[in-house]
Amino acid sequence: MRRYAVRRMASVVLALLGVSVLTFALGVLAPGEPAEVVLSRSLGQPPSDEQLEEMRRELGTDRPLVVQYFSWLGGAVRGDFGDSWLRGVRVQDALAERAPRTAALALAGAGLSLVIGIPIGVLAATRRNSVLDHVSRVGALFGASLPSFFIAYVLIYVFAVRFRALPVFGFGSAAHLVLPAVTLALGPAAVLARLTRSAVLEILGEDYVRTARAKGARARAVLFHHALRNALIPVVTVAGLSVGHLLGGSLIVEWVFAWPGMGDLAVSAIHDRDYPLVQGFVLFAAAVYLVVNLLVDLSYARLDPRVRVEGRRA
Amino acid sequence: MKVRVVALVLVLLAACGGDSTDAPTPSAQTVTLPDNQQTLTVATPGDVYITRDRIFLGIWPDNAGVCETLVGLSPEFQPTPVLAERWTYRGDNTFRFELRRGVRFHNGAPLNAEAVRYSLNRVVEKRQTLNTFLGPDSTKVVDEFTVEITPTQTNLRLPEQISHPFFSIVATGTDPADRPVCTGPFTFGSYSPNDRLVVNRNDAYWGEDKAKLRQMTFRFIPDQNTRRLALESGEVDLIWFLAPQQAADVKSRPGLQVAPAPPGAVVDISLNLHGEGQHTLLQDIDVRRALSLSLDGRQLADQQWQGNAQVVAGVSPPAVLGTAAGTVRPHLTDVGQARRILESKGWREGSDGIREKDGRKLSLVGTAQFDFEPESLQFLQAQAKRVGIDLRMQKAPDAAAYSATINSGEWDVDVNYYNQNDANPARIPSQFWYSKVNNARVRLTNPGPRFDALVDEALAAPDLLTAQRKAAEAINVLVNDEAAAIALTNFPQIYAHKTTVAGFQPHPSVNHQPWTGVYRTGSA
Repeated sequence: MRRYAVRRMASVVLALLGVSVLTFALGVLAPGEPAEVVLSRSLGQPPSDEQLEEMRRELGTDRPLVVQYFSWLGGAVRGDFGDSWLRGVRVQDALAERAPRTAALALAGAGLSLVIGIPIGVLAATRRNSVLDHVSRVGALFGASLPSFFIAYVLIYVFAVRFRALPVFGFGSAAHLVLPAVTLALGPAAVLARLTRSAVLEILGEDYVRTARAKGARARAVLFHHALRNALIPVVTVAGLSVGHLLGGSLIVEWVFAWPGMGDLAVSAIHDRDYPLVQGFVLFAAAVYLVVNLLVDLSYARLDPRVRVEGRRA
Repeated sequence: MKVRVVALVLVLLAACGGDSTDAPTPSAQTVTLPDNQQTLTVATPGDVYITRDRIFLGIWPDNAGVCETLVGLSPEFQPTPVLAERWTYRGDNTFRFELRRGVRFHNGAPLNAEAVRYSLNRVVEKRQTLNTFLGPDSTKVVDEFTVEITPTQTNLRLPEQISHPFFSIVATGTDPADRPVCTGPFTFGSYSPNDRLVVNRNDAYWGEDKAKLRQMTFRFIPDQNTRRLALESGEVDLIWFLAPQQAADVKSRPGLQVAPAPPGAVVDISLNLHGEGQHTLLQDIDVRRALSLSLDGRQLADQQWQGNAQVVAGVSPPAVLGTAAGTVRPHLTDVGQARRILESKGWREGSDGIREKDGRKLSLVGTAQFDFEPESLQFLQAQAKRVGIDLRMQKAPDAAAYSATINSGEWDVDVNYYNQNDANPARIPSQFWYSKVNNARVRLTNPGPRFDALVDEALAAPDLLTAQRKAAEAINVLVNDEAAAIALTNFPQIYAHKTTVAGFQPHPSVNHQPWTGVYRTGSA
């Protein structure tokens, strides 16, 4: 188990290195010059050639690309991600300020998606072909297919404009968290509901479940002790993968709800060609994603003893 | 398209419910609210103060009324005395400014010549001098209430240029990046990046026009649909900017009203006169004329922007040209004439309706600043097609991509709008077409020495009237004689607010929006 974990950690480091190269390459390929953006934003008019030259020197974008990349990488290894070109603040400080806000949103979204998705999936499976099953299917279809900005506007209109029950935008209180978290949760919840339903249905058809029933185990015990626990393995996998959705989805949700988190920061940084900030964000998001998936993999052993046994045999 | 979809959804949703805005009932008498309720929440498009130096907190581009300049900018784009009571040209490229006496900064310090020198030198140090040619030794203290300013190059438009908020006067020794300490009708309260800026009334304001509002909070909401929904929910009292397509719907809501700003930015279509490779078609003045004649500003304003824009003559807002505005020849739309020009020059219409000559299609690549709605660009495309010009408009996804396209020279037509944020009548012509501005755009758009000479004369004219006249002549050369640019309408900048917000007068330059006359009303 330990060797497995060490191996996975090494692959995480390699993946992060690959992500940093890719992000850097995409930055180079994207149209638009950072020096011009920085100057245009501060001058309010197009800069002259001389001003551009000076700003390129200041930002270091006049150096060869390889030098730029390794200079950045050297800093990143030491924990220094450089300064934001547009904002002039340290990248790690900017991310540290925003990360808790995005974490709050992502955790609330993840929690909600589990709370909504798994029970609906279980109910749909145990009441197969009932009205509830059909409604959940249609609901899941909508949840998974509607773009999050659309869901956001509808939720804002209904709950903030019509009923005035919740704020339209901003952050700072639990009430501000509700609409963005629901928006973020609906997509993953829909997927989880469908997946839980099919996984539970499959397990309920297994011999050992039939045996448990034949031995007189109560329906609830069969469901929770035998079926659900085993059905959770694919569900946990998808829940882990949905961290990517939550991080990606937060870009749009934070923009719509004016939630000043990392997603909002990343969108602005991309528009502004603020590559140190973009690199920092992508690396951070990739690290979170990889670590969560590592934890998911490690959790299999806890959920399913067979994984531990297989691991020992190997 | 996204705006349209969202607007449609909102209209449908709205139809399902009743009114929910907090307007006073028609029968109730409207009264001014007591002072403790004189607060206003304004939603602006995102936090615009986050830059490397952040030297314009609360000052630019969104002006919260904290700071003031020596020279102000009237809604008619004329220079007005603010912190300078008067100014005179002393010859030898030098202007003398006499300061208003008895003015105090928010920290109690008196306004004096040293504060002016400190403020302008700070702008020089931060390289934010725009085209004023101010240098570190330009500002000299003559006595406690008099300064003389000598730009490093000939520039007689200085008094009009320093009406721009960049040239706000701050108290000596203070840093507006942390806390702007100025002389304006509002004092800085607090700033939370990406969240809000709060300003409070300056009860010790020197002017007669004291603020009626006790406090203003600017909330940063980048998404325009969210801004609108925040207004409808009552969370904010006033928003900028509203999409023209949404204006009619918002106007129809009880308790809300829209306020389009007078023309402060003109939709200017620049043509690539010096392109290479595939982008040489507009080197031919007849093709340029035909394109210009094919476009109809009236239809753009009325149909596409639903009456929220005005047809204007010339690339600058007419008001900045003063009485000379009448000498700028208006843009003409004449589809028949455009067809005849192209026909006479051998451009024959193909089976697809696009003209060809010597095996070359009359196809033009268009680029546009990112905040144009795709529908507006499609509208222009359709208009050009009426005369057989294939105008392929592509909107840049953001400012950086837009600049990259412009600098690459891979374009024929550029649709943009330029804000007039000072009283310099030659600002827009000299910024975007004048060869002495050394950048990639101007190298492609400059219409030649005749235009340059007129801009030179406008910049060197000692009196404003002459400058306005010369700027108008330069615009005529640019737009009419050389057909190097097409000016159609102003770019609609629309505010919306609750009907309980009174006294709000949109300034054509958003950087100069005054807030002192605004107040809150309610039911008696």
